[in-house]
Amino acid sequence: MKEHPNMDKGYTLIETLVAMAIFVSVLIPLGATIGNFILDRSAETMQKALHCAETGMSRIVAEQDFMASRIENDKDGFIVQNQVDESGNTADITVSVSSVRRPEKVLVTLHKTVLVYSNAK
Amino acid sequence: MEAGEPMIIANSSSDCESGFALPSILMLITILALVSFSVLALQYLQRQQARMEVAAVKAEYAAQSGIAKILSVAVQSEAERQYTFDDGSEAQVKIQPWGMFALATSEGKYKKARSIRVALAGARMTSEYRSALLFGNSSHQLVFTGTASIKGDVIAGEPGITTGTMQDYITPVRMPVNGNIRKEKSPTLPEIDESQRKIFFSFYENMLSGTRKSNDAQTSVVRPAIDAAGTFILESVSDSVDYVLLSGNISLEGQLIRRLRPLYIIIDGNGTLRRNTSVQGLIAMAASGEITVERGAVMDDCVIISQKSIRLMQSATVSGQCISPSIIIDSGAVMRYPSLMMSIPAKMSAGKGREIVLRGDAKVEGSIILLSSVNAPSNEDIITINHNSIVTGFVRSDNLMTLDGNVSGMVHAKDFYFYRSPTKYFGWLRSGKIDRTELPPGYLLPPFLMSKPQYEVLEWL
Repeated sequence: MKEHPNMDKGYTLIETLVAMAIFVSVLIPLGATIGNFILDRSAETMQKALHCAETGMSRIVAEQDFMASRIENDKDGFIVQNQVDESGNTADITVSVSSVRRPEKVLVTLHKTVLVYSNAK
Repeated sequence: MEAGEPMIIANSSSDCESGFALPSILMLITILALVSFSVLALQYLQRQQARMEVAAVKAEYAAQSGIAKILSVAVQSEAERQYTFDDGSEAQVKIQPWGMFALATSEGKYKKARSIRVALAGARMTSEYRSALLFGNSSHQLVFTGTASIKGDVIAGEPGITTGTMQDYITPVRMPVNGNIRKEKSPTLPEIDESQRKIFFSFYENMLSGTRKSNDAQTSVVRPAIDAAGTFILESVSDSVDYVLLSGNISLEGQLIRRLRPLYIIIDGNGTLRRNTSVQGLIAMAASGEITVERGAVMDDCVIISQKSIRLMQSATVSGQCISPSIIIDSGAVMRYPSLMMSIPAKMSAGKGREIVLRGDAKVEGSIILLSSVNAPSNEDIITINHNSIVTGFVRSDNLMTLDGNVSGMVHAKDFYFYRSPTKYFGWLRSGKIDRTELPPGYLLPPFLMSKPQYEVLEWL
């Protein structure tokens, strides 16, 4: 008698249900975590904020724009705050950058001291 | 197996597939876990990278700020300072003479980030340097003939200025001065601050005596053996060496760059920088004999000091300081900004006149200074700027000056002089041109020329 080999034997129903349950229980939180991290661009935001602060600092130094304090909104969605304290032959410049969404959280603060002679102003 | 009994064929492959779901799911979970871990690690690294970038910028700004801070106070001697800034960064700064300028080295720190900046500092021009010409001889007139002209203000003695006639030269139809002429009873060249002068001359004296930092146990001094031809290969000097002491007439060959740690090469004899030799950065070379920079040799930011003479041959390119009793720049040689050519103190060149000569179409961007000795200057002390030579900057002679070339900047001269057989002419200009308006606004002078120098960064190294 010729017997066909049982090659098509599949998973049992219980096996499949268990597999699906485990798969779903892992996939949902995992997907949420991965999605959360992908959407979280804090590193990129910090790099942009740094670039914004450097640009602001360069502009102040190049233009010798030593207004005591100023807050500006950057086109990339940052708030740039400049603080300049002059004493003697130097000016201490502080540039702080925060996000428009969370203005209370400062992303980057840069400080630079430059020489300023009164006859050059 | 008996006859008539059905044959059973075992199916081993279908048995193996039984229960494969759990391993496959576990494998999938493992893969997903690895993926999620990779994403987490990537995010962490990106954040760390961003934080490091911020820290690096803060450290860099701290280093620059440290230099600004130390330059903002009057520097009396070698000094070290530490500064802390509002953003938590700090800087350790050191200032010392580098030739006739000041060298500031600053290490900025923020968390684990470090940044080192080195700057050469000069002094801002004061009001004493606003005029195109200060003619310091109050006993006779300043005489213009030929094509001599001045664009800018002139300060002269009470005899004032005039035009004169000389054979083979055209006589100007009107006074060739485009600026104000101010007469003073006794026009004197700006005083040089003795304390500043001592600070910067100590560099020179210590270099020649080889005693600089000799008490410092950390100083590395080498006395390399020289071959029979007297050739010293610059590449053989390691980065840890501070002093190289050489004896005899030495030819220097090869390339050497020092950006952070100064290197002092002391030669007891003559020194020659051979063709195509390149020396860049904080390298000072002092010789008891003559120093020759051959054509094609390049020096950047270096200091060369000779007790006898320095000669820059045709096509030599130097950005640095030449300090010697006699300095000769051949036609075609170039000294780029910020350069300095300066006569040395009289006690170092006793018995000989001092001279600075620009031949042919030599070019100098910087300062040319011939200072008087404590005693009366020798009559041989003279700066000669030949007809096609160009200077952009400042020229000062406490004694004589032959000015036939062009100066874009300022000239302070005790007296002008040239010889045309059979006559010696004092106070005459025949083809020299001075244009104060062409001097770049940020031009800086050696600090010892000022009593209270206002330092500024001359060059970031």
